[in-house]
Amino acid sequence: MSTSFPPIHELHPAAPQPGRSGVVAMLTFVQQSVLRPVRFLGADPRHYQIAMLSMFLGFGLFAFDFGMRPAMAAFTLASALGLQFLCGKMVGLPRFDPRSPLISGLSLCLLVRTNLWWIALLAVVIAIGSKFVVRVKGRHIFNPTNFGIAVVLLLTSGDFFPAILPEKALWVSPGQWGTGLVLGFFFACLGFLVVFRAARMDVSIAFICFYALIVYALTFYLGDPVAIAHRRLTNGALLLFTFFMISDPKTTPNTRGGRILFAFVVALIACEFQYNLSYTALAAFGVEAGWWWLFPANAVFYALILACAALPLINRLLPGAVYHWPGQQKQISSTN
Amino acid sequence: MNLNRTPLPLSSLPSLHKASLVASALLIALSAISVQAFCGFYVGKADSKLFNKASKVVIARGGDTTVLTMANDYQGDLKEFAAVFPVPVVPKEHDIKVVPNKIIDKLDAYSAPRIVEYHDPDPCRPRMYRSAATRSAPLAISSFPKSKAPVVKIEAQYSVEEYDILILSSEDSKGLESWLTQEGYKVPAGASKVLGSYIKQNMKFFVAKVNLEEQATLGYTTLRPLQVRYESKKFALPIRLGTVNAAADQEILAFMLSPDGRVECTNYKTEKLPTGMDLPQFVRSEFKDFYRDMFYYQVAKAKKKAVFMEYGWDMGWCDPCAGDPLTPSEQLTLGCTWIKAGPGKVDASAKAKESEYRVQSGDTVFSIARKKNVSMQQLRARNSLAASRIFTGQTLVVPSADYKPVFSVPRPTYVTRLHAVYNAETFPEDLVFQATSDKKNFQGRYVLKTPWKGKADACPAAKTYLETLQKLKGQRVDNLVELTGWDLAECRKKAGL
Repeated sequence: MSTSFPPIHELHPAAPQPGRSGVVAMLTFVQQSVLRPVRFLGADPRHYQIAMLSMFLGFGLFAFDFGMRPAMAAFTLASALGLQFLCGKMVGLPRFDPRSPLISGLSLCLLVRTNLWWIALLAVVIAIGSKFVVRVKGRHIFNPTNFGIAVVLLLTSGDFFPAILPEKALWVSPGQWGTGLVLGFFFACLGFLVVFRAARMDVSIAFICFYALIVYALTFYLGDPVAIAHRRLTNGALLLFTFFMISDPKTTPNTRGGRILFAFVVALIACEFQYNLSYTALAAFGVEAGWWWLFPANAVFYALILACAALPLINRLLPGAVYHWPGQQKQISSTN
Repeated sequence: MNLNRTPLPLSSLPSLHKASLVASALLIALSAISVQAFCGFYVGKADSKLFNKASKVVIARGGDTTVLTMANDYQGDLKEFAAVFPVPVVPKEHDIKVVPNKIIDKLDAYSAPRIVEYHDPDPCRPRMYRSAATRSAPLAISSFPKSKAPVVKIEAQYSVEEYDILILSSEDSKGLESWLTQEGYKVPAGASKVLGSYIKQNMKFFVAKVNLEEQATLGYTTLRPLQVRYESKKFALPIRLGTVNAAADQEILAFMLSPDGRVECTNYKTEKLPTGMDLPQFVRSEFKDFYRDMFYYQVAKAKKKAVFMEYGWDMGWCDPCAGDPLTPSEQLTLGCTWIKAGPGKVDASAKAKESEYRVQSGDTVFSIARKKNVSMQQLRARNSLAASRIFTGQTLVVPSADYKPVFSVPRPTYVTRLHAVYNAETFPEDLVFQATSDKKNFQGRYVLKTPWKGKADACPAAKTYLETLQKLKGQRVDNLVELTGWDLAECRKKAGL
């Protein structure tokens, strides 16, 4: 014990000298060992996010049986970090910052599933690579994790066109978390911590509100029990998306108005792809046609990638200050 | 009966085991009675009414094509039978078929949770292993008595074997409900809300009743499974009509067939049944109760909110096999459209037995096959029809009765067996599915390890073996209690502890 910890009075100049009251010494010890990590967590919103995502991943791997393999998760994280390092070196970034690739890797592990190593690598390459390649005015516009997921889904799911890569090689499991008020509350609380710190609470709240509005409207129109709407809103995958994906400050509009518009667009497109609202609307007028798209699991990812594609337009219409991570200088073009 | 057993990988056994294996195999080959035991020694026979309130459905999904087959265990007066369920499109007559019950039973047996027996080797010298499996039984569909009425649009009307089929659509849910009630389909009160939801989504209603004359002519004693095929982006199982006003929980066994891999539910949690535990010996004679109690106990633990996966396997093999896997022909019958039946080579003697037939107006592949006493698969394969229609004036080759089509299985079928207990509160939405490419194997498998019956003084190893055995017996009882929620004291007593 004595070798691993420096004496208390060396940790903090104001710490009590040895020999003082034991209680005071203990309190100071707590201050150092608890508050300092908390302050570290709070220094950058990404730290909270990494902590939360790691905790969820831990649950998914070891507590609940999500069918994830720890080896696959480790591989995904390692390749995300490695690729960020390589790309950073190639474009000449001054420092290797592991935080964004960690978030990308953790999100990928949590949200999608695959049994093929090369598909996992492809998703990582597309995700991290998009930050460096798809840029407008010196900034990447696509949420990297979402871009990686959406592109691989497009290539494997057969949703919009026949699968080019092995069918269903990558999939999203919205059912794995179950649903329910407790789960929803849990996710929401943790999510709040993250988005509040990143000053992107408005995107998440606006998204979930618009989504809820649309789902309630659909449920009410169909005459379904309201329990159906509640189930759809407390889905774990949806809440993970709301608080940990769409809220990326770097790939959301710069102004509050822009962000609310952005959230509305994502919610509308997501519901359209998930429930084919336009089909139900046309059916009300007696139009006979089959569902032309129904993607119960993949809808939110397609919606976000489409909305991000419209980001430069939204930012042009509603211009505002560009977001920077705490401590980041304005001159350096960001890839984090 | 014949149990295909995948052989133990011999290379993994030490040589002494191998020698005794060979010796025992020889002995067994010589003894007629033992041959049967070697091929398939059931720990116990499962009663086919184990879960006698559950419906069985098979859903085969390839691309956007869904083929839904419903087993039919209706026991009452045939006049009173009726089934109503929503479909996304109006199926054509050639999309509706009747399939033999035994195919579904075979699939059930193949995928059923199994009790496997091993024999502890003699600690004094090695012995060979035997394993056997048993199957649980599937269930029945609940159906309404039928009747008749107007106010709805009859989109199509077909007669398929012993069934009269109507495809209905309606603008008015209350009108549809009263129509069905008047026609004698006893639809539960309050169904109009659910019907209304389907109507607003442009769904049609598949309504089946028994044609008593046809049924008498065909001479089947029980009603056979109905199958409907349709193309739709919707991949869902409509369960809501069954839960309206239902007094008790409903239960369903769904066999999902896919070329991609495991099929899971996207809007409900899919849980794997706990599997692989060693159980005490007395379960051998109580395994029906064990499995039933275990399943319901696990359902209760999940607060009745989960769908349980009992089996997930590539249909090309099994280990251990509780039943034979389905042949490509049977898979095709259940709607595995990714399997192609091709003409193959027809030699001269077979050609001599063939004939030609000119399609007349009103003929279907089904009616021609029936007339000419061949199966639809044979007719389709011989003429490379696949799913295409026939037209009047077309000349078809009618193959000989023993013609065997050649099946190509470009993508092996993966079967997922899902079992759920549901009611209107815990399962308010229809089940929505998606296929994944997960082809990992999973099976409900419970192990009985028959102990060696020697004495402690037989050899030094025997004493250690018997001491460990006592400890293991206790563990096995604990496993059992954890799985089923049975009373610990009683189980310990039955296990002889």
